[in-house]
Amino acid sequence: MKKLTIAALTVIACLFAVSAARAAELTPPQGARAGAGFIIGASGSGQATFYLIGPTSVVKRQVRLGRPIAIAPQETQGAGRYLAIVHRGSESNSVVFWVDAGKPDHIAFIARPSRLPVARTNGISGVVYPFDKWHNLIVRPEQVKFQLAVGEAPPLIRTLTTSDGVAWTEMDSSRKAGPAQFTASIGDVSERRVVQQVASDPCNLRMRAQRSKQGIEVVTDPILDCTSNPVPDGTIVTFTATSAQGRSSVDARIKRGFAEAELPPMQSGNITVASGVVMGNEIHWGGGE
Amino acid sequence: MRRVRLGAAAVLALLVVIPRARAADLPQVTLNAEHTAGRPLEALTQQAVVRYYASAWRTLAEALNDNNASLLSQDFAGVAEQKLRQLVAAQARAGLRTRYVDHGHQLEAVFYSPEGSSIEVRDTAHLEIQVLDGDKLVHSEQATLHYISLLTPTSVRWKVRLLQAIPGE
Repeated sequence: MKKLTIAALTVIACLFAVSAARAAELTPPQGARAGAGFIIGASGSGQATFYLIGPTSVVKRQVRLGRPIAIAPQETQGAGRYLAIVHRGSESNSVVFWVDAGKPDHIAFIARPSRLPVARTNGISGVVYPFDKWHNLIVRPEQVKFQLAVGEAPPLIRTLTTSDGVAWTEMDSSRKAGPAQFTASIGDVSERRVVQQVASDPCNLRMRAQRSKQGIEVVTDPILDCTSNPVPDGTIVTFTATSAQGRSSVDARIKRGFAEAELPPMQSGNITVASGVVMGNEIHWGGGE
Repeated sequence: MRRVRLGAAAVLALLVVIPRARAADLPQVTLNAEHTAGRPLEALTQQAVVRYYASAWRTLAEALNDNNASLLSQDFAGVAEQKLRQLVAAQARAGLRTRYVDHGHQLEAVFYSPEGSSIEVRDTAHLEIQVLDGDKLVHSEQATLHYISLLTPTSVRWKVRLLQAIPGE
């Protein structure tokens, strides 16, 4: 009888131990945000080792089952997958849960290029990746406002929603040269870049020629692009004279909007002007233009 | 003289064999670039992304298995490297290790920035994950996990700049 009682008590003790171990169920936090801390529920009774493995943190501590397990904010700064484990004896129970990024704190804003000609279709690109305070990419959709403004002209605005943590746009450069303020913002967080818009290639490049003491003096009209922006000083303009004696070229830089040069004297021939791939007018020297 | 030659040959053989062995350890990575927004992903760039992403995962597995953060900088940069370093340090402090048995990654290129400075991919990874406390196995699971990853070019290779697990759809 005594043996039977001992056996029965042993079986009951084992069943209790098994049920206690199995009862160590973990309850994950709902809607957890990075850097906010949270509570994990742990049912059962007795001591167990608790582990929490997140994207940037690892927690290991002894816990008393049946009491909530508090996780400090500094242990929850990484957004992503968290694995919580309770381990006792040879039994382990685990649960996986997700921690979302916090609110937008800063933006990675890539604006290209830093300098381009005016009136270039889709010439400017802007890419935005939003991050929270702990450098977690914010994957949930966020509204991004792109704004491109030059001088007093009304800005060009485009509003997009991030997808997979990115929003991007392409915009035309404006018709007016000058520094463009290119801004991306999410709520009250914004980043600004400056895109220098410069005059495009010359348009209607024209010159006139007159005899000088040394030869032939050539001078252009004011050099403008097709949207009437002055082509920047320093841009090279090439004057070429072709005659029976041969061909001679002179490179001149635009200075205060004009380019001028002196060609060697000739009786008759042709004079041309060009800047980059743009050809200007041609003068027939010796017989008038 | 003969011994020196044999020694040199053995060293040379090891130098050839070790990189090949490491290459053989690379997890399988496939990339689908059919629906990439932004700039089209050229074939050579696709191959490079696959190669370096596979290398990054091998490095990640080694770093977390050995608690050795010194490996990370060859494949990771920026936030990704910083966060993995934090994780390795935290694991080491707690006396834990994580072992990844990598059964492959299916990448989908989401976005290639117009100026070519970043590629974003979605990764569906098939992994076996084991958590060890010292030598004691405290957790083991087979998991299909999803990641968002950003890769950026450096002077010689693509590096993972961001690697963030996201819930599955």
